[in-house]
Amino acid sequence: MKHSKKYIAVMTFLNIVFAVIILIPILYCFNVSMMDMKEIYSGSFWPSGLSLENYKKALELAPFFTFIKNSLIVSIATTAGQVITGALAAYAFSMMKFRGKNILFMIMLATMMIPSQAIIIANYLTIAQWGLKDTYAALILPNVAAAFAVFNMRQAFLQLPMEIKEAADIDGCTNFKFFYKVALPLIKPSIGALGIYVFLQSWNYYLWPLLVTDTVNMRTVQIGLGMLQGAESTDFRPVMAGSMIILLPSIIAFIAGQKQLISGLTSGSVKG
Amino acid sequence: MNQRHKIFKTIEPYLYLVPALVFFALFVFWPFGKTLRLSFAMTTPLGEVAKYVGIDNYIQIFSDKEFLKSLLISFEFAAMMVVFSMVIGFVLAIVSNEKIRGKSLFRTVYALPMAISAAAASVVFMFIFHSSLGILNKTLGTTIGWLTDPKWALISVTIVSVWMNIGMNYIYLTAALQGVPQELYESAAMEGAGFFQKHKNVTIPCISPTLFFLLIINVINALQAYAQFKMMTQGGPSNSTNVIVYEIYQEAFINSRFGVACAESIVLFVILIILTALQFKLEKKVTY
Amino acid sequence: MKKYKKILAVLLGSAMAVSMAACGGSGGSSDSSSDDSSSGDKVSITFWHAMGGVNGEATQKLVDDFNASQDEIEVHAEYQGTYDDTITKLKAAMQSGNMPDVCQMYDVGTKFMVDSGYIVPVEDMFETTGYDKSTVMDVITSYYSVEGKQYSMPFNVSTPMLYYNKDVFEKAGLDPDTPPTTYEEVMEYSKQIVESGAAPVGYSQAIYGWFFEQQLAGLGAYYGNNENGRAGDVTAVEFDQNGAGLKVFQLWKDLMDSGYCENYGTTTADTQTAFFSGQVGMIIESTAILKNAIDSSSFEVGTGYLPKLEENPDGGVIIGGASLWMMDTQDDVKKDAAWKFIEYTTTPEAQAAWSMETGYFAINPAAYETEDMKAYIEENPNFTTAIDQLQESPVNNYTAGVLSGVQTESRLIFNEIIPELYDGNITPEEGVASLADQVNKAIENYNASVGK
Repeated sequence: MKHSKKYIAVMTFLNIVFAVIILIPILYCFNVSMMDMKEIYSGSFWPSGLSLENYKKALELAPFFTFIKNSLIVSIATTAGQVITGALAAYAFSMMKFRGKNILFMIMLATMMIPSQAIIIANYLTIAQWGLKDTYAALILPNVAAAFAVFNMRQAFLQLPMEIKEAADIDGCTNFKFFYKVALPLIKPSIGALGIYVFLQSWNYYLWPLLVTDTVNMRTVQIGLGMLQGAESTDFRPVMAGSMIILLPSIIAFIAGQKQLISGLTSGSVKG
Repeated sequence: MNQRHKIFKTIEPYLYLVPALVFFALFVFWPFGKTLRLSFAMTTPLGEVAKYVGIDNYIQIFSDKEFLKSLLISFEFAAMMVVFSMVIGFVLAIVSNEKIRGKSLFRTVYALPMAISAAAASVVFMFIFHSSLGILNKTLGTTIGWLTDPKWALISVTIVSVWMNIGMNYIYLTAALQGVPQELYESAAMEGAGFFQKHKNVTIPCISPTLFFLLIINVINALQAYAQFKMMTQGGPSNSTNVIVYEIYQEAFINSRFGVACAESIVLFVILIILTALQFKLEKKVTY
Repeated sequence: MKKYKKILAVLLGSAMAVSMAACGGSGGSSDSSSDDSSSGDKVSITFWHAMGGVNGEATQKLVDDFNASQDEIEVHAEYQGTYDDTITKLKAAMQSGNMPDVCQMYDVGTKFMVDSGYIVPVEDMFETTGYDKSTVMDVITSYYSVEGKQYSMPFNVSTPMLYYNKDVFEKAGLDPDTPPTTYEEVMEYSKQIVESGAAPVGYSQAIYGWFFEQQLAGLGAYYGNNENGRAGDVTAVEFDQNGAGLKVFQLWKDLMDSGYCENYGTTTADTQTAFFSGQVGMIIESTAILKNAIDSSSFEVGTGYLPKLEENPDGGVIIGGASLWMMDTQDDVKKDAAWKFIEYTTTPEAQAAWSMETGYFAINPAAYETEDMKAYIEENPNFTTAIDQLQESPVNNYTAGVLSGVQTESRLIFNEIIPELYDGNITPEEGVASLADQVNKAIENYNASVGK
């Protein structure tokens, strides 16, 4: 479909405006990370120069590279876990008929309504009892399955036309083959979106990693940010520098996930 | 063979559910059982049962004006947050789905706030909102105490929350837009539909399952948000931002009244169940 | 089909591994510090702390110095988040039996620790090890003592004081070397600062329950009954009975109503920001921010004693901060090691280094006699203000501060009442009554939950 030049220009302009508004806080974060001590309190938005001193300080106060490695391991495993467990369950809930389907789905969905504060201590005690404290397993296991992922992929599967499934059934295609050969590739954009979301959510966890890890070599990035803040007063520049440091891997993760988002364009022409 | 095949057919669906259910059982249902039990108990500062008190905790929270007020604040916050983050996310998804230059750059920018943790966002916005130094007041030429005035504090935290939450709505809506058949737009264009009509008549019906999904998720997320409240206002000033989950956090981890916190969690749980059930009913009515 | 089976097998396998771990894990409730306790012949102990930023660095250095000073004990210092995070984690650890050997705990967590039953009072170690109790100033240990017994070792210690902008004072025609000593003067000075146009705001104090407690102590009045909980458990607050609460509330109200003061909310960093940026002439803040204040401000920072409401010989400042606790790990070797580390932190050299790096007080007066410290104080005359104020503070149960299991909550309740007072929704009388009422309920609940 062709659009007029004017239309494209208006859309580009709108995008620029929106992008600037959304970027301001992040830009401010970056600017503060470049400032010297007195500059922050002078009320200026831009730093007087570019200096990496605060980044050096942040890396001195907390071993961010270790934390980034840990967070990557945890976030990738969590994302993979949620996509796998979620896709399987979602497939059953959307494409299969069985007894107790609605009630089971409701029960799964209900897990989302439980405030995490209410169960975090009990889960800590479980992990401690299993002797898993200070391990990757402790960081990953409680988040390997999430109702969010199940629900998300169920909606995606439901968007697929039922006719495909019926055709496959007639061809004698087994459920599992259909699941991973046909259905999964078709919902790739949703998996991409889910992957980005779960990855970043896991990247931003704070209280759970703090509870189940004791030693610095098992800790994750958000605790690293905490290590930059003082009890009575904080020098905010290393905090901002630390935020920028841990932002980079997330951007890379997003760009990777975005490919999946877009790949739907080519494979998504099934419907209609 | 046929018999075995039949048995397999019956149990097959459940096999798909097993992995997820095992983890739910261990890390959600089991601890939730404990929560339910503690909600009927007075707890020691350590969080263990001191004695069982029946429904005292529930009576206490429902006769506590502050708790009822915090429910109200939560709904107010959730309503603002859901509407704004979905609408903005939708608008961004639409404008960045056009064939324009730098599309993937815009896409990255729109999703970027997701990658900022509540801790970092709170520090940044603390500066932006500062009443005498912040760029917001400087730009607007005002002297509003964004986080210190009870009239503004909830709105300010909502702004931060919406900013943090746009990204999620954006990526899901963008993903959903990829599934809208181009032919439908073309035929709409041939019928002379304008920009707004096109999206009203084609886009929204086509992505309604995603919209429904996002509505439910946003409501749940909004009613469970607490990190930004903890960092920015601690429920104040004058309890004006004391949302229910912050109240739960405070009762459990600051005031050490786990029993009360658990009872409050159960109440929130029930509220969310009812809200979600209502939304599912609504979905059945309006699905295109 | 084959692939399907394979994947399912993997998934089921992992699920089974999980459930097996669930069944076979009953022996897991051993001491957390057992991970590498047998590195050579050294006793390995774990130390949890809540010190981030430069203070975290200084804590690590202190531990490194201790480890280097002898070859019997290896201390592992582990950061555990903010104070609130640390107490949350410690509670969970107490339940699961994964306690550290030494734990830093903030001032308001003192009563919880005393009542927990999981700690060894440090005083129990004094006699057997020959430690001299007077090593640490009694104006500091009094906060961590109940009925004369010292429960923990003060670690990072601070008090509030007045910070003022000397440039603003000069511009306003005030003497930059004489800060106000009473709140009456604070108000006069504020007026002069604002009216002369030297700064938009004269004075500000963050809404922070700690300041309320300090102002009560300045009046020589108790916060809670039973002598602030030092002669028995607090069963009710006393500030509503002795009139001091009302005086302080009236002060907060008068300051705001004067029009020369500004409220920057409960986040102390916001008030600091306003001061560092030169918007506010005077603030009260912890002595621990001195270093940050000097580094962050583009003007000359002056300091003075916490202003007084009334002259009172019993009045003074209460210390704040945190202390080190010995956890009862049921292991005498580790307990001895824990004590040796704690004792090391009180030595003049360790204290001098700690104080210079962090800005907290040196708790051992001998630290001030070391050459390094003398030179440091010479260079930072503002540091003297803090020390003198503390040393002039009388040692009694008013300045020991309230010992209550609900003090974190009490401060939060205070935070919610003050904005109401500022907005004129309630009178100071109503504010005091409301605070007393809510805190009393919390105390009653706490006492019932610990079986008292």
